Amino acid sequence: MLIRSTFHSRIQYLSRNTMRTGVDLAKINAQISTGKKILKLSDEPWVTSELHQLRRGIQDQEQYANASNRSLSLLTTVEYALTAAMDLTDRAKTRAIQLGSDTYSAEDRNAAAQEILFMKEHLLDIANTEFNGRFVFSGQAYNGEAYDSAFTYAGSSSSSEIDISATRAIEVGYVGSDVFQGTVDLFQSLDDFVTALSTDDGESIRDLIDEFDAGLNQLDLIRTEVGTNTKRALDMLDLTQTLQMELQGRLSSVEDVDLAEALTSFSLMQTQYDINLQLTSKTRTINLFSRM
Amino acid sequence: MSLLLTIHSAHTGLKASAAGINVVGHNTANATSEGYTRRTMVATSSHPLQRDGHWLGQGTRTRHFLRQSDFFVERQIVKTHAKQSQAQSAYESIRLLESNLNDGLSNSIVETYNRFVDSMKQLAQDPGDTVFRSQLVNDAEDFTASVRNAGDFSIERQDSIRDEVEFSLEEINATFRSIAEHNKRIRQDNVTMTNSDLMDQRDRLIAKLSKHIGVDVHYRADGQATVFFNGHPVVQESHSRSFSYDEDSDDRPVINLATDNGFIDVTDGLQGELGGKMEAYDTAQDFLDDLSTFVIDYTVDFNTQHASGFDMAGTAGGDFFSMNSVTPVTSFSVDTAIVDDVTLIAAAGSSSPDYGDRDNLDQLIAIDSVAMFNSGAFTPRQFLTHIYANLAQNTAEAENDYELYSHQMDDMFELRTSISGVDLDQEAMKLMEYQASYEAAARVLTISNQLLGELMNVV
Repeated sequence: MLIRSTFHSRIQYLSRNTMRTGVDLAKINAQISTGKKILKLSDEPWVTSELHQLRRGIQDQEQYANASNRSLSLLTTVEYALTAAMDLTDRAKTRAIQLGSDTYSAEDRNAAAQEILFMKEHLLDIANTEFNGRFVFSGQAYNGEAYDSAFTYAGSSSSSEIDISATRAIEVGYVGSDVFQGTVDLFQSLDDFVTALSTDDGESIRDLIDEFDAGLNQLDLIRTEVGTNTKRALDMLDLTQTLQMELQGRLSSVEDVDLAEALTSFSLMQTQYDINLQLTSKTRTINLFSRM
Repeated sequence: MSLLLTIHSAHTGLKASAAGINVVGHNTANATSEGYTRRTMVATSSHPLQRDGHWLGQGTRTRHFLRQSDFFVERQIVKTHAKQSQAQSAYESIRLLESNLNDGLSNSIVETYNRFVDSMKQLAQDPGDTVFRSQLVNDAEDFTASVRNAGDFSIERQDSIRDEVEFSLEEINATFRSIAEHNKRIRQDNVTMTNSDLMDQRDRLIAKLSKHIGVDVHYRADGQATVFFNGHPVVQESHSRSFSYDEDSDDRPVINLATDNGFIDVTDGLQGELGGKMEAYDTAQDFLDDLSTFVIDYTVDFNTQHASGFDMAGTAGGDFFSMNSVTPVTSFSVDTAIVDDVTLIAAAGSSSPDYGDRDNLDQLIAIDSVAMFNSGAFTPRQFLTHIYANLAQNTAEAENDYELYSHQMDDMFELRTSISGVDLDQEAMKLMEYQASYEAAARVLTISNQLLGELMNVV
């Protein structure tokens, strides 16, 4: 306990406390107006790592969402193309069943050959499907057509992938030669069909039915794989959205201010500040000289 | 008993009361003067006169003017002031370094690095896309620019501190001389109120000195003060020493104290503002060293991986980043060849690359996950966070120290004020007391004079 208190020390004490309250008031003001509890790292240096990790996590999820969306666009394109290819192959099989019957004359079969030639051209167009300048059946060489006009595969032997998470990449660009010329070379099969029709070879036409069946299975297998990748991309999109919200919530809990608490503190400090000012004003007149 | 003696005694009373009122006036006038130590007048009765076997009083006399101070408290204030100034100075400088980091903003090192890595991941979706490649180069340039800016700012701060330290030494040396001069004058005049004023002036100089460099003081019985810096006497009686400025091989400021046997390096003993500035200087240096480690190690690993890949033409990759080993931070940049031609980015793993060949790009992205810093403790991202956290921690510690020593100074100030401060109420009461004494002495003088007059009339 001090033995002696002077007028000057009382004023100085009030002045210091008023200044300190003013500084605290300014800080609360800044927190309320920015909505941030942590205005600079030194406010709570121990959360630096957590803050950076959470921000990075949110950015990662945005990145994966972007990758998933891009993947979905490409996979949708692939799926449409495969469906079109399957429809075409199914139509070829149906024509083979029909034209394999000996009720058709040589002239009928010869006339049908043109239709099959058109099918082959159409399959080439399907094989050269592109999305935003990216040929989906060229593998990694997706800047160019998968097949040239001579029906020769010109793409890459490696498929093209997109990372949709830290640990998962999905195929979005397929190797055309695996799709259209795997176990069954669909272009060759159509060629054989044209030849059989032109030579009125009913038996060869009938043999092609099984080949077209195998071709359908081949395309269906790849379409199933595309479906699986599409599901993965969709699931990842959902997951990224959920994770983003969760991470955003955690980030907010770390760096955002509790407005109710802050406003209450502000109100209390403002009152304290006011009291200090009034005390200072009153203390000024409390001395013996003013009474002499 | 002589009436003349009574008049003499009354006169001494008038003089003493007047001196007391003078002291009250001086105290009151200096009630808010910084560092003022209140005076009290000590009066004592004059030596009595022996006459006809009797002792006759001769009134009062002013014995001396007492300066109300406590040497221990004064010493503690000097020491605490040094620590407070050091913490304040360190905090103000280190805060600048921290705010320059721009944490959370788009141009911070961490954010630009994140964008750079994200650009690589985006490019991996379409390695041949020149728009994505250009974006990668732009983000790489932003990243290197943010590192350079942080390095430049730290170096500028260090340059500024060097200048501030050098230019402050002349003022400090002048203060040493001034304190010595005051010591001399105090020794010459040790009874009047002027002596106390000289001591106040000298103590203010010591406080100013402590604020600058941190000193210790020893007060002598004759009122002189011996000032010590880091255990070395720098002011003793009317003699003083001086500082000189130098720099070591790393351009770090060196303060030398001149002694009889040559110069002593006292830099590490600095407290006060200069001590705080040196603390900030060393913090900036640690920051630069960490940043240099990051730049050098990351550049070497990244360039090595880049060189093992192939660009869009199938040519082996060159350097992606460039820097020089002398000033890695401020020279850190994207190689100009890459800036000029984005097709030179070696994303492919094959010398006959397909458009979408991203094998080497995947390896470049993977560097972000390699624990290459602090003996395998930190990945690049973690190391950057570590650098940020270190600086934030240093800032927080400086702020806490400043707050702590500020509270201590407040307590010391209150203690000093309770001992040495002027209380207006107390002075007002003394004024009333001296006023009453003066009026009483004047009354005695008047009556004695009247009696003497009566006596004259009788004669």
